[in-house]
Amino acid sequence: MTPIRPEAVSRRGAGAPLALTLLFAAHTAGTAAGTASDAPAPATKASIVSLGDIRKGDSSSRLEIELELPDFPAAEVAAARLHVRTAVDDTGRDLVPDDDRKKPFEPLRQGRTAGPDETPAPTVVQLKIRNPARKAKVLAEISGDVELYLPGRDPNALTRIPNIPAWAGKRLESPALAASGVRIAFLTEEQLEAEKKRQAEKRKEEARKQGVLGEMLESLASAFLRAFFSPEAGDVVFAVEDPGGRVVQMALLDAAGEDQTTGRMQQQGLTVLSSSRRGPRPDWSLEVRLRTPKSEERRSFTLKHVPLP
Amino acid sequence: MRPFRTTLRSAPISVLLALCPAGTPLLAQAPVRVAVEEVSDDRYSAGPFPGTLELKLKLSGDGMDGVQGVRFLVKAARDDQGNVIQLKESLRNDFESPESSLSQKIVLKNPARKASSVTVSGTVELFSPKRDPNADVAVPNAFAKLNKPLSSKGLKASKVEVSVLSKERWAEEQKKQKPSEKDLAEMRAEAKKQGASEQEIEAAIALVQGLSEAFGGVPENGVILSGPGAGMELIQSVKILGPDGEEIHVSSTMKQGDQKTKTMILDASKPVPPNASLRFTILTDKARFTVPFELKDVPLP
Repeated sequence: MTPIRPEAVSRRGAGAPLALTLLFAAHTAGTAAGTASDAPAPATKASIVSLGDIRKGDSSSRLEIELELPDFPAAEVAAARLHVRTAVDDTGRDLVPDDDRKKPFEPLRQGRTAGPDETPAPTVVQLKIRNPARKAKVLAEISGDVELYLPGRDPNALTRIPNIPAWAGKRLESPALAASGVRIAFLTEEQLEAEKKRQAEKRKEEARKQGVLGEMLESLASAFLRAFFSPEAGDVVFAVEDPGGRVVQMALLDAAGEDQTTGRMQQQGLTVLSSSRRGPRPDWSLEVRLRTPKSEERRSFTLKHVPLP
Repeated sequence: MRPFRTTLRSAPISVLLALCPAGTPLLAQAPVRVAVEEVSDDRYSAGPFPGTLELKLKLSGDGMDGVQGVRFLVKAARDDQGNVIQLKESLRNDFESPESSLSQKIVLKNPARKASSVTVSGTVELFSPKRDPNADVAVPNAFAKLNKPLSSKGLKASKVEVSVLSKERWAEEQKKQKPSEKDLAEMRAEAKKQGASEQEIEAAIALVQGLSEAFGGVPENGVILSGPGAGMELIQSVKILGPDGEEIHVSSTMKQGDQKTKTMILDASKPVPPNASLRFTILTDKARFTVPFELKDVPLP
């Protein structure tokens, strides 16, 4: 990780010295570093909602499974991550995806809390595995772990930084972020420009070490600068340092607490949030959802003899 | 696992046929070939999406020269287990441009899971306006008399009656279409009779009103063409030409209406001058021809 250069930081407003220590994250929001432990988790009930066998004969093919977890009301679970341990059809084909261990937490639609006489809607998670054989009739077994993020269980799992536009050029201050070892800075245009140049220099240096010289080196650097993303009007850019993979999601909330985020993007180690072309209003806040030990549950699931469509 | 397309290319049984329309000497020398490019078989156990088997096709050959419209009519589809594969119902089967992804696709219901290939046959109907001079109809000064059928021998010969409507006239037409308070009261009463809750009824009413407004809007430079449904259906495309003969770009065309009256709303890129012309491409019989196709033993992914 590389510290942001002091000259890249605007001195607008208070709290400017924080930028001296701001680090850019190798692991950004939503790409949690941790993976499911190998230790077995307690089992939970699970049933199939639907299967989608998407067969296109190319890399977009997959078997999508919607899994219902009746022990966990949907209103309580904000995000989930699944790790498939075993997946095999009745012809013996191994369906465990190759990249399963790299998956980040996926935000879920929480829905509303059930009324006193209503049965709470269960959490439904989606997982993707490889396609079964055409000749297969059933999934002989699918088992794995599901990690659930329940922010309501820990006040420190959700933090809101009010009046977010006022933090431009500064590192956000929040006890919950500090407790999770997360550091977030709201970059100004000048800081983003400086960061672009810093990353281009870094790549130039790496290329130079590999023996690239002269015009080729310069054209590599300028190609990198051209490819660097340009935020749209109203976008806000954050540098996120999250070595423990604690950030599950960041959102822009209006004065009434409504999520106004229309797009999220992670580029070159930075997190970009979009709302409207005007950008966040002075009374908007940034909500950061954080995984904490109290807000996480890990459960195992096993299903057998699931008929295929 | 080999990629499917590679498998398809190396398949011992040809899925590519050169076909000629019966009794058309021109095409006997200039075949139209139908080949399968991609196959996707999306299968669902439940949920909002129906499963589909989609064959993405490629048309080629000298017979495609000048073709501006394509539509496939599937007559039979079977999997290698002997099961008949049903056609997927579609709302419309219009001629589509050969470049459009819509035109190059056959959509069927899923074959049996254990099937390994399918055979599909039918005809492809092609529209080539250069085969019939009457397929290309120019109407000069088409905007001179609004709200009256265009006077054109070419349109008349194809039994196409079309009027350019003013925005005011269109607004009046829309007003007539808009559900009245009486209509809404009847809808409420009928829904109540059928046991719908107040909330459900109001949601349905809002939907009806919303749809009525959504389809009534005309873009700033919109050109509204309207006429009896049967004739309007024969209009494959319309170009707007300025007084200098330069085409005025149309970014989108919206079609609406029923068998009785159909309307096309063209979103022009700039205001259309009153002395502009319209150039219609008409689906005349002489400009249309069909060729049979059979796609044999297409491997399933």
